Amino acid sequence: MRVGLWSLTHLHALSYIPLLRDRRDVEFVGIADEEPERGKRTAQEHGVPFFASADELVAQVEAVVITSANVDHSPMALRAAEAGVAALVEKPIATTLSDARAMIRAFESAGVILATAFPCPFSPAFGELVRTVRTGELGRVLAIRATNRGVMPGGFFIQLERSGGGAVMDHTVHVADLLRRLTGCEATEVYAEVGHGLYHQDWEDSGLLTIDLSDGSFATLDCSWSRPKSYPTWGDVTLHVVGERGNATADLFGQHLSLYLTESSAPSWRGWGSNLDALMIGDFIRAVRESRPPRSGGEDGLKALEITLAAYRSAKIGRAVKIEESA
Amino acid sequence: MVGKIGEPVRLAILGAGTIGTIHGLCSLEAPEAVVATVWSRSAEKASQLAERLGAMACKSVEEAVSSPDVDAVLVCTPTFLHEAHTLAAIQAGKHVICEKPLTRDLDTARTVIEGARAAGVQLHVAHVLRFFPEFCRLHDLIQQGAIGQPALVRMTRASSFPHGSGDWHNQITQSGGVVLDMGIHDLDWLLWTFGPAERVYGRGLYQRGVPFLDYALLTLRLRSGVIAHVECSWAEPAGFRVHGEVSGDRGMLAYDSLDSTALRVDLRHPPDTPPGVNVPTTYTAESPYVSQLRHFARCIRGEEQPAITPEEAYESLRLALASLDSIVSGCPVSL
Repeated sequence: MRVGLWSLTHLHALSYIPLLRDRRDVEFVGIADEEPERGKRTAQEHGVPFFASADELVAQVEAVVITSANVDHSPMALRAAEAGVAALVEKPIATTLSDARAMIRAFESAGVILATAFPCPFSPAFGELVRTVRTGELGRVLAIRATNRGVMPGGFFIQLERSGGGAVMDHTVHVADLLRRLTGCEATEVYAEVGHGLYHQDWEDSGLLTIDLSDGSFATLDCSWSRPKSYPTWGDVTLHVVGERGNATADLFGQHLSLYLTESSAPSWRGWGSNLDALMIGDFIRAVRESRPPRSGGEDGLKALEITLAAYRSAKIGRAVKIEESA
Repeated sequence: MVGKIGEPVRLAILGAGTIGTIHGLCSLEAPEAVVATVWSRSAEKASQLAERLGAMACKSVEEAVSSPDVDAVLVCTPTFLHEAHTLAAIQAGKHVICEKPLTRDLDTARTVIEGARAAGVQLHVAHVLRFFPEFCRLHDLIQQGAIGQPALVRMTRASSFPHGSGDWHNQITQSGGVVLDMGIHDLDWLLWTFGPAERVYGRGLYQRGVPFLDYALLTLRLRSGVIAHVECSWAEPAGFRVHGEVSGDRGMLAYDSLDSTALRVDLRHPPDTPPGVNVPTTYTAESPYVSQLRHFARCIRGEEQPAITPEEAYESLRLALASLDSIVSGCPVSL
């Protein structure tokens, strides 16, 4: 199978390129980028071809990974769909519900796969958590306290016209998706307090969301860019589940070594857990080859985006927002 | 009845459960305080504690508080009895140290505060977190600007479900559940450290009819612009865990009781745990409960200004009750 990668704007591209290049079951055709200098340099560093024309790349592949700025996901994905090329789109799937819906429709009518880049469902710890909940070991799930905190990423993430939002846009969708998978329920209502107090900019750097689920349980999510530069790692994804018969706590990136250097004052963590990006890419490739749905399709991306946009609306009007209101 | 400089303040303890016993034993380490009388709904518990303290066990609240040997009354009964017992002390013309929360609702809190003022006696509410060294240090570092301007706070206070006398905590209308009984510590600390609250939104198990389990997640916006998340849990299988994290525009301060303790004892064959209420311990030269008792006693002797006023305790109660209102109504509640 011939696969390409389009855009180096999102930093996850640098994780996906070697994973695609080193897979024996695909031919990595190359990368295209909006910034030719950056594209050429990165292509050279990874020993892969660079395409000055994205259309030319898309014309040569069966599947493409799109790692552009959030607002560019939709136009790029639509071009892939037009060319009959399957796409794995970086999260969030889009920045508006109408864009996300247009993408889903386009891939449906083209008869090719649209996948949302959600690596967290591939976490073995999360898988075990789902099993623990679904077998009833914890009893009825009553509440979930979740975090997806990170270091302020800079770059396009803090250019609102390219990102569509700050920390809430960046860090709501992962946990929103995990909550749906864990409980098998949809979100019904969202409340959010957002803050600008860490960086004092027009983009929000912190967010505290409360999410009601259709089974009567409730969750909170801290999606803030609250990890300082000296924090030993990029951030976290955690879920603390309170059930009638017990609690479970998952820290999806909690498997790490601590590295202390003689010449540096800040220790750093080096993860030793499974490479979730690799598992996600593998699922996407197999889904395309076998023409079966990927773990996270366009619908999953859309549902997570609904929760994100409801949070923005809630923060704006100062009350809880029903999901249908924001849709 | 007025505490005299140099002489210990003589106390009556009402309630000889977990917290009454803690205060009683702390008095043995507090040169400024001595327990004179003890009353409990259980005569047996009253005599046991009185014996340990060299105090007199009393058969009635009246007897315990009106004794001429008593300067001040420590109210350590369940929350729903605070009003009656505090007023009994005030009517006897005694100073009052009342366990948190001051009372079960705002009207009674106001009655108690006004009653103490009219009687000219001091009223202290035991928001002991203000005497816990880790939370004092956290408060001080923030005030000193260690993390710049604070913006985002997360707090967790989690324990197994308490088993107080007659399992009164499980009578949620009597105890107010985990938010009023335990979350109020964190809410009080937030108000003390960051100033008044603007609104609160909460979700919790309050009034959901799950026996011997309570859990709440609160989100607050403070008038200073700080936003805060408070987890209140009586859903831990065992033990007590406290976590706090404050992010500002120059950095972050974090604390977790799991990785910040000086001593842990793990018995391979733990004896059967008797029912009771989990109370966190600090291995510092002086226990926070001793520091608190000594401070209140010195206030009563006129040597110190109170670290927490009745109005502050009232505001902490107001915020905790607003949190419960939000949990019940499902809507944000403005303060």
